[in-house]
Amino acid sequence: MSNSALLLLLATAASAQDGLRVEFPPDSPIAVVHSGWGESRSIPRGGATVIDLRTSLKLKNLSRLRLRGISLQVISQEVAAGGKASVSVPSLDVYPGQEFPVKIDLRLLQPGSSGFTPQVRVQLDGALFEDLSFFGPNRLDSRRQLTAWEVEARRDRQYLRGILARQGEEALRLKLVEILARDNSRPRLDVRLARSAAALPAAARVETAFLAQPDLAVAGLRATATAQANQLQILELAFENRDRREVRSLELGLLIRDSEGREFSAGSLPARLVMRPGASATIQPAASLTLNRAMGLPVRIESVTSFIQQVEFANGDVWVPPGGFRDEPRLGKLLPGSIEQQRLSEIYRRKGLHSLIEELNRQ
Amino acid sequence: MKHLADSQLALAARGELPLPARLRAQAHCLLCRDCRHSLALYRQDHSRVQQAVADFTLPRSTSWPALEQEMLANIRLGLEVSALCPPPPVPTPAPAIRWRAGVAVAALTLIVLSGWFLSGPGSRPYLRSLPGPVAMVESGPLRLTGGREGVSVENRGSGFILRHASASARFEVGLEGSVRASVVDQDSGQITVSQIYVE
Repeated sequence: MSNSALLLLLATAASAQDGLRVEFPPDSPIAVVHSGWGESRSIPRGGATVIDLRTSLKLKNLSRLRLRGISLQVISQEVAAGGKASVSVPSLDVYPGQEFPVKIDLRLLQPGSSGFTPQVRVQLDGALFEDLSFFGPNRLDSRRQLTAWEVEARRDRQYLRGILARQGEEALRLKLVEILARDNSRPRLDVRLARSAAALPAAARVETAFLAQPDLAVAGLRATATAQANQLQILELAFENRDRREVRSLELGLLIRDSEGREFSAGSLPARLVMRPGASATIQPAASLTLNRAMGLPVRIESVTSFIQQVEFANGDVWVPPGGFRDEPRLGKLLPGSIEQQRLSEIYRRKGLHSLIEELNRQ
Repeated sequence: MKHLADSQLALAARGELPLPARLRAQAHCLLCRDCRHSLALYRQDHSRVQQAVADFTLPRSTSWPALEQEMLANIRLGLEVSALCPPPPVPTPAPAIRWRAGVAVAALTLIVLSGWFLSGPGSRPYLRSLPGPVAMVESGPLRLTGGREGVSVENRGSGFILRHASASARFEVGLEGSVRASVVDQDSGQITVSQIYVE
């Protein structure tokens, strides 16, 4: 029996008693070194029980490659039938043989007060390595997500390293201050989504557009959307594959303009969309969005602009917009930075410029 | 020579140090090139953030003079209405409730409160009461929520929250039926993305 299989069995056996099952495939290049709930407590609340469960899994990279990201599926069918959850840690740099922690902080609510702790299963959904190779069952589309985050992270680190090399520390510092200032001043929306194909009763067509983006592998052909006050329904989107590779899925970003001329970022639309080179395809999202500003003020929707923020090809490649995309003044004010930008700006905010430079040079 | 602490430099840059401390900091900066440089950097940061706030443009329709006029008109209207209408009659004090009636009301209140508390999650959605949910997805009885405490799944009174320790999480709704929160862990510096989906 290999070391990983032995570690898996030990981890599963140790944690099964307390309601946590950590299940990694026997041939997984990531092993569970330690699992089990740490500080946990059960609180009766009226006719229900609230159970706080905290764990810090200790995992180990058994592969010969540096690990860049991991995604775990968290399942508790007894308390949340119909819903599923994942915890992902992108932007990792775990060397072969190195151990690393993944924290899971869970609160369960179940009716009754039997003292029974529901079973929580944590399964590996995917692990991404430095050469962008992937391991895992990929039930939650982790391959696309982890690859996109890693490609964005490389792009953003290279962009910041370029500023440091060409213009020096002061320019890098100013860039980080700009990122933090943008993050704080970005207009925020409360977004509520109802999954239903039913049409809004008194909706009218709204203006739609695709953002002009250079060197796009997939072009938006047309979009149809209706709105009723602050409710929006996207009826259909059509795309064409202009690349030589087959497209497997894409992710759109949505920008909304209201009747006052204000613009907001209103979320994303990932869609599985198989398109051979030169082919076109459509999607019909069965959902309506309700958009409110702070204090519950409704957004009177006037137009929707879509842009492509990810394309996944059948060979596993993922396209993301180039580094300067978010620097365009209009988009910079609206779109949140990448996951990596969020991490790097937090390092600058908490630890200062020299820690950030160390981090940029490390990877 | 002992340098100024970062907190003193930050306060000095904003002009918020008390007078004696400000004088000491000014004297120190005259002699210390490092602290002088750091202070200049803090001042630049401060002015850039102020600039970013100043660059924030109000919606086209917001006109302060028009708003002022509207408010003054409303005040005038209120005064005119109160001058035209007679003041409402002063209510006569209600007879005091006897002590037996008071006991009965208190007992009734206790029964109602106990029933409400014991009625369980069907009528008291604990997971729904997250402070300030900013993202929500509904699909039949299933509800996904993203808020300050974390991202949650709830189905007919039971469910779970994947909690995050920081209030500075970033949320995104996926139109396929998902809510995602990304947050940087203060201890490890790792970024963690918690996501919930409708199956």
